Amino acid sequence: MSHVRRALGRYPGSLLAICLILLGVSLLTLGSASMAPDGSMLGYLKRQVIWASAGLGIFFTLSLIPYDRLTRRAPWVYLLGLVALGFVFVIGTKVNGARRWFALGPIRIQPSEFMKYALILTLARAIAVSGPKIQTWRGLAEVGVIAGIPFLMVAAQPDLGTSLTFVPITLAMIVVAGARFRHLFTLGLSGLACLPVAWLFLLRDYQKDRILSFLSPAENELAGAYQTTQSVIAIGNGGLLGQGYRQGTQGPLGFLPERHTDFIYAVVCEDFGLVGGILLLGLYGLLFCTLAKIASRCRDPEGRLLVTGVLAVTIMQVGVNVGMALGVAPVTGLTLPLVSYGGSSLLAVMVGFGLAASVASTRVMIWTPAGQDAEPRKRPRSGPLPLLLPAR
Amino acid sequence: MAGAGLVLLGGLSARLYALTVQRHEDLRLRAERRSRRVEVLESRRGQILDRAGRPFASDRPARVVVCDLPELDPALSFVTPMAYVLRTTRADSLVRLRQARERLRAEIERDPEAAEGTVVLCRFPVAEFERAKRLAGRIPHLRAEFDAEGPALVTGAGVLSRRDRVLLRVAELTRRSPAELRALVEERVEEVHALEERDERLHAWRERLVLLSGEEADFEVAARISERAFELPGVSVEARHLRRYPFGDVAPHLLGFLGKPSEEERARDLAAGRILDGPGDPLDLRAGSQAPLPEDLRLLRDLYGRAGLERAYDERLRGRPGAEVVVRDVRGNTRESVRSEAPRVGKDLSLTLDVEVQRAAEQALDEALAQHGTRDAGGAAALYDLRSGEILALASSPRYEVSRFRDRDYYEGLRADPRKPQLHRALMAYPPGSTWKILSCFAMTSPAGAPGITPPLEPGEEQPRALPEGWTTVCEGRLFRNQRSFTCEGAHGRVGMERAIERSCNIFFFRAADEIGLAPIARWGDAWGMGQRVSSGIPGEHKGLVPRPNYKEALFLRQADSVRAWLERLHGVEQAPAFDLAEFNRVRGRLQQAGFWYTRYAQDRVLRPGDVRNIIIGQGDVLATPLQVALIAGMVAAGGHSARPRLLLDAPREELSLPLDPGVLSRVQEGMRRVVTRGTARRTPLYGLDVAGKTGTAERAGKNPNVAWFMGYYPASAPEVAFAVVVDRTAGHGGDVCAPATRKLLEAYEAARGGKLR
Repeated sequence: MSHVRRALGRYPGSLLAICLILLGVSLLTLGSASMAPDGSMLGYLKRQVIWASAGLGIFFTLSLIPYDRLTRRAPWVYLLGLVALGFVFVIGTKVNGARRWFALGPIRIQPSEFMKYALILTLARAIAVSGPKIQTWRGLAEVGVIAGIPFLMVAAQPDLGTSLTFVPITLAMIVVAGARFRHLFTLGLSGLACLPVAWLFLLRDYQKDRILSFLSPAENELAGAYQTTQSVIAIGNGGLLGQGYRQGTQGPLGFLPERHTDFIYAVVCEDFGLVGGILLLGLYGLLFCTLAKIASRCRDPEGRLLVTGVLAVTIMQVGVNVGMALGVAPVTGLTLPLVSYGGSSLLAVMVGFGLAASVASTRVMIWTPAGQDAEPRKRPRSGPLPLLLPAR
Repeated sequence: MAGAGLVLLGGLSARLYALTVQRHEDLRLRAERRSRRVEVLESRRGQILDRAGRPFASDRPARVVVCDLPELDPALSFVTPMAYVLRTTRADSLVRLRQARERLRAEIERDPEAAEGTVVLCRFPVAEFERAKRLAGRIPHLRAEFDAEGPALVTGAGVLSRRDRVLLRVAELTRRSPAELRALVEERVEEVHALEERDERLHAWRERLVLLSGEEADFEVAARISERAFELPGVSVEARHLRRYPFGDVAPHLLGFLGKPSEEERARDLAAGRILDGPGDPLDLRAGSQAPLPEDLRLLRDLYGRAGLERAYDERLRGRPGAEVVVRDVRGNTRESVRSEAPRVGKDLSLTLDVEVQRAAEQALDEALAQHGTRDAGGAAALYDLRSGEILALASSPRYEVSRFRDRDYYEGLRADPRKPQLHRALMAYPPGSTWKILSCFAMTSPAGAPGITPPLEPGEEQPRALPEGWTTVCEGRLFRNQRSFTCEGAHGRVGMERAIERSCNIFFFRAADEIGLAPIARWGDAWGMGQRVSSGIPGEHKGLVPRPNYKEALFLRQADSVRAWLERLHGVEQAPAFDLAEFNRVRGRLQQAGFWYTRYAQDRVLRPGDVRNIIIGQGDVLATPLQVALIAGMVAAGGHSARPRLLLDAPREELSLPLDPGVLSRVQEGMRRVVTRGTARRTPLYGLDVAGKTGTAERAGKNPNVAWFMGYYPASAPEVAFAVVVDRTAGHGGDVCAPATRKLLEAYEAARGGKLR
């Protein structure tokens, strides 16, 4: 237990505090959002309490485990994730034409949520192990293969929103790992070239509908953009100070769809207005800074990549979810980290922050040319770790 | 990395600010409008009552069988996507939908199993397939499919034939034919589509279509419909107020009728925000407006007064619908009431008419017409209490049933009837014939007009010569003037005023006319209120006409103008031939062919002594309504002080006074009394009654039938009521035709007050 004692010494209190506040906001907002016309949504609040406690348990457990014990087992985690994704195709439950989760007794598991963090873990490990290879096409290709398999599996569920989060995770990680600008540029161009192909062959009708309706919400109010319109109205209705807790009309009267998950930010804004919305965004800003600070404090490339992945996925989710509520991003199923209702997403997010906390509290001894600040590495067993390559 | 995240958050905050602060007001209104619903509360239209409170017209709660079109016929929602896919109008795709329906109907008749399959609604270009699929995905029961012949919009046969099945079932349960119901629905569908084409936001579908109402939706039928509700989707029984006319065809012309507003009226009311359930939120009720509801508020389903009293007093009768603004949730359940405005019931309209007297007058007229009328004859009667001015009867014959007036077949039948039952003859003007002689008596003795009422003579005007009241002349039965012969009923010998009235001697008045000219008659006509409406409270009353000395010139000029305009339209302004009388007379025939029908036309433009002779006995160009003629009798009866006839019980009594010369008055009264005892009406059922009166028979030019009159007052010794009865287009004469009807009218008057005819 010596590592526990050591970990507690540098425990990331601010990260924990922000998580607790966000969970509080989540419960508060769900209290408002669960005021359904028929009272059928009261159960969400109770269940969210259970999920929040479970999530905190995971957070504490992971934060006290040195992260390299986890990264070492990354291949297994990755395989487990792929198997779970495969399971979805076999025994998954079909909702709205998509198989995204399966039931395990009373619990519904959405493997794609966990796959994000499995991917972060795996990529961190792989990039760290392969070292400077990331500057070559070959290294990038390896990363591409690792990220591509779960991407395609999730996209085939189909769950385009979640699968697209894999892209910024991967990109952020290879950028931080020091990929060459030239390669990134080429990748970007070819990505753009692929868009029309994807439109014609990959996207399904309803996905195209959503994108189209996002581009012209006024014309398609009846269809996909109904949700966005409702959300925009709810937010606008909030005004500067909001209608007051549970006093909104769009939420409690049931006009705002998916208000406990996808559009929970609109509930916050309707109840507490611009002030509440800005405060919540501020909290996320603090969260970003905290994660970035952990990443920058970490001398170990593996840990730094890990936190970078977590940060990327958090920024992506916050940006897309809030943008969706504000009507500036297409409707995807991405949740607002820690605030949206949903067991899998909450637990998965807590896994991510647990990993970040673990990185923060684990002190890894690394060799630096200057020789300063050198402490004995905790576990040098996994062989010499490559340096994070400094700027070229 | 975190920097990128913070920039992102900054961008989102900017958007948040834009929504919550800049667009707050707009979005708040949209939120309120979405979450609020205005529930419409029907108001009750005021009743039209007779003097004893018996209703001529009243709104009664009734059951109506209504249908909700979108629920009855889900195929209606296919029209818009069909129009989009085919790139055509909705009217066009409505036609295609109807064709598909007819094809299916025929197919089901051939093979009942076809009702189970699918139906192709329309085919469209392959290029539209993706779009069609997307559109169809949003409409229940509609699919876009590829079959052997290419892409098509298809639906279930059951969906397309649902309407027919339900209507068939409704027809089985009621007394309507399926074809009739189908036509009713089809008509409404077209109407709604026309409305929606003009204004998409109208949501005219929401208004339910009344399938059966009134007698047809009696208790039994309603119970049967409600019982089978499970197999009649979209059909239900509702409580509504329906206008009822309990006395059937009593006073239909006067009551008028209700009807739908015209397109312009509807558009004007919509634009002015006077339709509570109009498109959008016309009164901002859903946006939380607390302003009081306007007084002239209406509902889309409201009927407007289209004629008669229903129209003239529409505002008073109408009432105002109420509204309840409720907060609703997304499923449409009501949560709470935000504002509630009770409907205001319309005010009742109490008439001075007595239903029994009115009915008796109408029946008496019917009988007189049956006995004496030609095939296009009509009649009217007016009876008023000269002390209070209350009109007790204002009858016209033939008549119609008010409640059936809006029934198309019934209305067409009325229009085809040569007797023109839709005319309200009691308010139309006829040549008053000899009844006008009463007025002429006063004109000949004081030709300067009624002192104090007629304006003084112009300074240059010659002081007219007055005939003394005891003036007499000799009637030889015939008067030759200017190579024309003016005839009398008989050779009456020496006649004075009393005897001239008693015998209706024309020669007496012809000679008087030669003495005084036209001006005195015009002055007295004006003083007596002829040529003006008797009462402002009676809608549609004709003004009548009192010819003035220059009337032929004026008429000629007016008609010359219209002929000139017509010539200019015909030939162009430059080429139009100069107008002259010969040309006018030639053109007149062509004008009549072209649809211009002059009842009176200018023979020439010079007033001739013969014209004056005609006018003094009420022929030719004088026109008066039965009410005006009754007023002449009333003034004589009351010695120049009668109340002005009025139709509304709550209108104030208004005294009319005319300084009548007492000497002439007593002679006229004596003459009118003698008409019944030994004059022109002595061989009629009025003989022996305490009635004074005057017969009249106006002859039309050529061989056309006469206008027969009888006017007078009752009882002659202590006058209470004055009356006038007219029958137009009869072969008979005044006394023979109208006196029997008058007796029945007076009997009914006495019966209504519990008395006996004296």
